[in-house]
Amino acid sequence: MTDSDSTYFCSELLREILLKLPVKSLIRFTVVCKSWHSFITSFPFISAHLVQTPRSNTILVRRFDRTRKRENYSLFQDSKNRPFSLDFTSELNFPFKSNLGYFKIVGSCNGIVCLYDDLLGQLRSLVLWNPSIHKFISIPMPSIKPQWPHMCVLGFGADLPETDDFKLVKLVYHMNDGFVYSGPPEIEIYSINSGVWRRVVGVEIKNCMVKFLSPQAFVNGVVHWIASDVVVNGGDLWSLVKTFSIADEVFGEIMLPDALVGVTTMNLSIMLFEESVAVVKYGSEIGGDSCEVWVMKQYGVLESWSRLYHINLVAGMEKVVGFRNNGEVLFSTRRNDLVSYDPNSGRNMSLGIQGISSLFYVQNYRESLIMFNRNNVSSGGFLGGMEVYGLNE
Amino acid sequence: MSSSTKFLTLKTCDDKKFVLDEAIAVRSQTIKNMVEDDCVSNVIPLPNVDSKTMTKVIEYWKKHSEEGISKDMLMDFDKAFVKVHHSILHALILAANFLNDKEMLDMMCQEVVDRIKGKTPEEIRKEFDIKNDFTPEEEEEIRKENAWAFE
Repeated sequence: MTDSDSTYFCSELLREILLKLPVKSLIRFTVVCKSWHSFITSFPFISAHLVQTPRSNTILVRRFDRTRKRENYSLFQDSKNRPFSLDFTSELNFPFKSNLGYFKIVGSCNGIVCLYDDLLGQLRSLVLWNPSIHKFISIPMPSIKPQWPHMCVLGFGADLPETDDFKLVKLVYHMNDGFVYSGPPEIEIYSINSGVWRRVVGVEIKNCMVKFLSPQAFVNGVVHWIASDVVVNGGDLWSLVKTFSIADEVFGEIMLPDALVGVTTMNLSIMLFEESVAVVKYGSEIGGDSCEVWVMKQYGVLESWSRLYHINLVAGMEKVVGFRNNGEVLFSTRRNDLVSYDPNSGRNMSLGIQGISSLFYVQNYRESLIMFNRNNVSSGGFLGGMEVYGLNE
Repeated sequence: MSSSTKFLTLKTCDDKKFVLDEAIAVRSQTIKNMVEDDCVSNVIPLPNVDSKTMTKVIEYWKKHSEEGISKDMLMDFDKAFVKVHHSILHALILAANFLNDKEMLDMMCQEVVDRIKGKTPEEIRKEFDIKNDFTPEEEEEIRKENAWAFE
């Protein structure tokens, strides 16, 4: 932007002002003139805008409405000072239709949500969706077409703000005839900058199994999953955190504290507590009466794992789905709604947000212009399924 | 170094002089650098700031340097402080930028943001005196692509 464009402020001050504007205003202001358009849609601006957007009080909630039989994505305002309530902000315009009735969510970061639709283990569509700018990118299908039986794991993350790249990683674990997993997984990596899936061979990957349908926790540029490994001598399984670093595409492991190592992966769940990796341990997968929240306070430091809460599961509380800014814990319940629980007082209260317990997705959300400047993005909607692929070809 | 209060004299572009406690004046990074570099003679000239604007800036600095003032009181003060005509707001932003007071600049820019975020592109062009150099077709295409943002 040159100074001559505005007699009002120099370009440096104008940048300061534009950086503070919400995404919707910025998109509207792209038509002010050509230099504003190219400035607002440039990657350096988009990246700086994301960096200076504070870790917000906005929470994205996906829920499955049982009466209308459809999924719904909404934003809520989480205020530090208001216990036991979330203020509804807006329902997001969800432009997709899935075969199954709802999408599975790989993860979200920098305002982008990665969704996929699968039917009976067959991947049907894969999208990166930026709800704050009403745009999405359809990802082509991976090239590995595994034989049944097998198990797939997806991971998603960004290499921002250094580059504007996003990557997906897919692990395919094959089973032999006896339904026993055989050998290390096949690996494929997709980056939106390259636009293609790339098979990765000969990569160092410890032969441990990522938990089936394990959600991911993405922080510090690294995807984290719950996984299990066979102890060499005893033949027992032990649990650990498997990692994939987005920028350098390296796999790794993080050990769990002693209290969690021997727990079956079925009873462990990984998520973020503020900006730290957290693992929730349930008494048992179904019908347990308590859970523990463990947090790795210093990233990568084994000794920093500490038990934050021990929570008795009362009032139908079933699974931890997220954490509030005020320290309260969000639970999905057997009554199919969300409950906010204060670990200090032990009190809990329903938030009046209904949805099937196992299909809640709750994540801190920060709006961004990411993907706005890309050529292959689409707006509007599509139906899940085969027709999606045409968009990228 | 003396512990007694030191005073600086600031001279605005319309030749008005302001005598100010140095401890308060160094809220301006620009003045602070001058003081530290020891290039302060008797009078510090502020060629980009007029006296009307400087009076407002000093009012802000003094309030924010008051001892024992509560956060709530400062918030109320700030709220009232930014409620000024846009020509004054404009002058204050340029002054805060020249004086390099990041805190004040951030606050004033946020006020501009709050004033313009709901505006239409036409209103922005008028406010910032910008000529639209899109053809009607080009503009229409961008609007159509992002119709939701114009609702």
